[in-house]
This record gives sequence, structure tokens and C-alpha cells, in this order.
Amino acid sequence: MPERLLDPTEAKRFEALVLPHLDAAWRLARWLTRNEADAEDLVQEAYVRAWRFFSSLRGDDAKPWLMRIVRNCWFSRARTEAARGKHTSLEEAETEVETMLQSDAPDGAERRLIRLEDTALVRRALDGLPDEYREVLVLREVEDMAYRDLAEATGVPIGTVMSRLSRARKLLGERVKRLSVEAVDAAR
Amino acid sequence: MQHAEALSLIETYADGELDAARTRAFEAHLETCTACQQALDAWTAERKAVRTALDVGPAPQTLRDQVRAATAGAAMRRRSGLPAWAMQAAALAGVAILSSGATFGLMQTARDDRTQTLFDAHMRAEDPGRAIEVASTDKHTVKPWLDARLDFAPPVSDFAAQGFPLIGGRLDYVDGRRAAVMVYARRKHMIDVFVRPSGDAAPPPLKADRRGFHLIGWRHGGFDWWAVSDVDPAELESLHKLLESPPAPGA
Repeated sequence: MPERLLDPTEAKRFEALVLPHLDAAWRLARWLTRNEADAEDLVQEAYVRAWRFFSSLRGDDAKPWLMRIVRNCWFSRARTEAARGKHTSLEEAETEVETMLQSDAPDGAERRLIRLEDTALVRRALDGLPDEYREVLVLREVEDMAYRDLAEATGVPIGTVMSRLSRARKLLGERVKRLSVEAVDAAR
Repeated sequence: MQHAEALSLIETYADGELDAARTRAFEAHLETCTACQQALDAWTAERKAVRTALDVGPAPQTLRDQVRAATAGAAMRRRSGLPAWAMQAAALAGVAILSSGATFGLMQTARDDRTQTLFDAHMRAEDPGRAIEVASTDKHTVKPWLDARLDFAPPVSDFAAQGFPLIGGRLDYVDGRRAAVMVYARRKHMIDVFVRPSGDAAPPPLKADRRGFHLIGWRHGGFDWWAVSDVDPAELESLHKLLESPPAPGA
């Protein structure tokens, strides 16, 4: 396949549109890879690909486009490394949420809410969730991305984004609750 | 709108994704329903807690330098015959090795140096699109934007009448924790004012200069403040005075 080289105008455009999203790419990569060293590698790989496929960007909002490159790099890497086996798979997570919903009190009255002081627990709980839940949570909760942009970044329809995000939030809350109960038991 | 429906829409409403008609109906119900108000408040507090926990801060400076150098380098090497992306990959690998050696000495002395962090943050803000995340000269726009993203409510004032118009705000980091940044204009220059609740760490005051940039820090009203800019230090002092004792409206 012939490479399409960037002319200086395109290079400037890349700098203006894609570089400003470096922090967002880093934060997504940090949670996908679960550590900082791999996150740096992933972001570098993603920027190389973004540069190479810059012509595929439509419009001026590069954020969802770049986030999609970051997660695609991660998914192709994670498949080869079989790193995903150690954590809850999407199927297992969906089943867990279904079970939760069936046993949940009406209006979620029994649900303990995540509090500001739970930072360490939230981080541990997030690490245990499947890739598909971690990415929507980080992109929505930290990056403030709209559902439409989440759909573009993750390559699924908007309805799937909504249900996935909602389930991811519920499961995160449940896992935080479980971790805090374990912490109390361990202290006894 | 019925109560059960309103409850089920809290998530979509709080995400700002409800259509206009249902937003009106939801808000009408909300005004009359304490239970829904409390549920919405609890939901919002939970989102803020999750955001705070998951926010790992900006990309490390080394990564920023590598990506920047690689993209700039590739633009210049276009005629070398190798595909741009291959040069890119080579540049990334090369710069990674170079910068880790060259910056090592600097990193040692700058470690835990908050002053350096603040200068870096101010200079980083010169990247396109980064300086201002909420652009507005109206403090009633800037303040709610910041409040919604922080676990504290920073004081926000405009001093256009005194020659320091507020032009916007953004989020940044001091010691790895989120800080509010109010951006003021001074003629053609930009002044970043970082604000964060006073912690236990050694407080300002402080004064510092780095390569034409100046920094002053102070503690006031339960907050730590730092102003960074390339304007004259005396002008930073004037802004500091205004921030400590804002003139009465109309004065």
C-alpha cells in the first residue's frame, strides 16, 4: 500500500488537532493497560498510527477518532498477549450485572454510593472490570465525552454505549462496595 | 412526568443526554419532588467521586516530548525516501532513548519541585487548544464549569475594570492533584492563576523566575494560590492584591 505523506500544512493540522488530546490518550491508555510503562508505549504506538492514518480523520474533532486508535491498538495487543484472561470478561460482567439487577431493592435503595474517600477502592475495582467497561467509564467520567462520541470511539451503536455505560457504573459501584466490606473484614 | 420515569432518567439527564422535551418534563417534576432531587444530588456526588478516583493527571512530560519531537521530526524528514510512519517510529524510539538520558540530571533536581511543576503547566498550556477549556469572560460561566469538575469550589473573579480581564479557565494539576486555573489577559500576555484548597504541605509565599517567566504564590482564604506568567513581576503583584481584596462592584 503506498504511503500518503503529510505535507507541511497537514503536519500543522495534525499538531493543532491531534496533539492537544495527548492527556486524554494517556488517561485512557493508563486504565486500559493498568500501568504507566505500558500506557506510555501504547500512546506512542497510537500516535504513530494516528499520524499514518491522519487522512481518515473526518472533520475537526480528533478526540473520538484518536481514542478509537488508542483502544484499537490496545485490543490488538491484548489479544496477542492473552492478558485479558486474568480479568473479568465482558460476558462474565454482563451476567454479574443481571444477577445484581434481579436481587436489587426497588429504586436501588440498598445500593451504597461511591464516595470521594473511596479513591483507592475505585481504582482497584476499575482494574478488575473488562476492557469494554473500563473504556466507556474513563471516556465518560473523566473525559466528559458525549454518547455519540463514545459510540465513535468504541465502534458500537449508541444504544450499546448507553447500556454498557450504565452496567459499568452499576458493577463498579458493586465492586467498590464489595472491596470495602472485605477491607472492614480484614481489619477485624 | 411520573416519578418512576423521572427516576429512571436521572442517569441520562445528569450526562446531559436527555432531549429538550424530556429535559423540560424532567425538570418540572424535579422541582416538586424532593426524592428525585436527593437522588440526583447523590448521583452527581458519586460521579464526582469516580472522576476524582480515575483521573490520573496529565501525560508525563517525557511522553509529551517524545510524541511532539516525533511528529515534528517526521514532518521534516518527509523527503528521506522512507515512509513517514517508519521515520515516525524510528524518531519515537530514538527520542525515547535520548530524552531519558538528557533529562535525567534535570529530573533529579526538579523532583518534588512544585515550582517547576507550575512553570511546566503554564508552558504546556501554550500547546494549541490547551490554554483554556472554558472560554468566557463571564465568571458566571467559568465558575460553574470549574465547580462541576472539582471537589472544591474555587473563588472566581473578573478584573476587567482593573486591566486584568478574565478570559477563561481550565483544569490542571499541582502535586498531582486537580487545581482550578483561571486565565487572565494582560495586554498581549496570559496569566495563569492556580487555585487549590490549602493542604498540609509547606505553604506559599514564594517567588521564582525561570527563563523569563515569573511565579508568585500565596495562601489566602483557605486556598493556596499561584500566579504564573511572562508579565512583569510587579503586574503579578497587582493581580495578587486584587485577588486578595477584590474591589466592591462598581468601584
